[in-house]
Amino acid sequence: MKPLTPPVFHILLALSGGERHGYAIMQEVARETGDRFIMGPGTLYGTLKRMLAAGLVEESGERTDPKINDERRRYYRITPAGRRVVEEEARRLESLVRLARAKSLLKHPNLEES
Amino acid sequence: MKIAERIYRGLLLLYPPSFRREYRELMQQALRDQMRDSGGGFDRLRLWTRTAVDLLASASVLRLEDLMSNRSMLMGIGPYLFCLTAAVFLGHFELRTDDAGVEVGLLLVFTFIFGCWNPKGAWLAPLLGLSVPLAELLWGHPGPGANHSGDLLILAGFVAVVSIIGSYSGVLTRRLVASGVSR
Repeated sequence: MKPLTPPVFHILLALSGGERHGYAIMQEVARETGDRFIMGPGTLYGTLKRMLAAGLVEESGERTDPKINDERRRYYRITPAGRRVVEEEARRLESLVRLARAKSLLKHPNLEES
Repeated sequence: MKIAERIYRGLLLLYPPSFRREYRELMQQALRDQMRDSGGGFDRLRLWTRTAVDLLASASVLRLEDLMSNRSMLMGIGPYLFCLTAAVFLGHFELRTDDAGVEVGLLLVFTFIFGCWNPKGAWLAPLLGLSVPLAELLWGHPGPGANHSGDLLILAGFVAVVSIIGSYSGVLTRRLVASGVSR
């Protein structure tokens, strides 16, 4: 499997916690990355369009989000295929981190704590 | 609608029409949300800069994807465009010369290419060849006393057979090359 692009990976990560509408995905990604990765509407919906076509996410209806306002919003959720893909990517990244640690490029978390 | 939103709505024209139809409202909604949650002054300027970069980058990618999908559609109709062009050329050639040998040679080459390019549609090759009797029928000049319709029927049958031979030789060659490559 080819590595996922950052927008695809972050959208799948955001949706792994439950269904969300577009703006909630943008907020979640920004929060999870400490504002280091901020997606604009073009990147978000361009990526979602490709992910819908690939069967990684699906639409789960339209309704309002009372936490924001009374506008109707389109919600998205991760599919079983999307979950498999994001898990596989997380494992791939984990093995890379392990490799970086073995080469002393990263400190072991236990050593950092002490 | 605020001026900023109007400008953004106008800039959405940079996206392919199919994408715009599906996501324009959602993108405007997302921008409204961002504007509402951002502070004023420098924050707003940063939001607009980021939005402009995002718009240009994503619109370019989506336009490119759209172009590539149209290219694959063009590749799909390519053999038929070729067939039509070759048929017009052959029909024109038929009226300009009496050199049957060259005509048969050209017909074999064109139908061979058509068969190679489009194996599933190889059976349509006689349509290419039938341009010869068709041109003769519409614009040709029968000699005095000649049984013109009978000649044309024989010609049509002949070019149909040559076309089938040409196109299926193309199909066969393609399969042989493909099996050689896969080995």
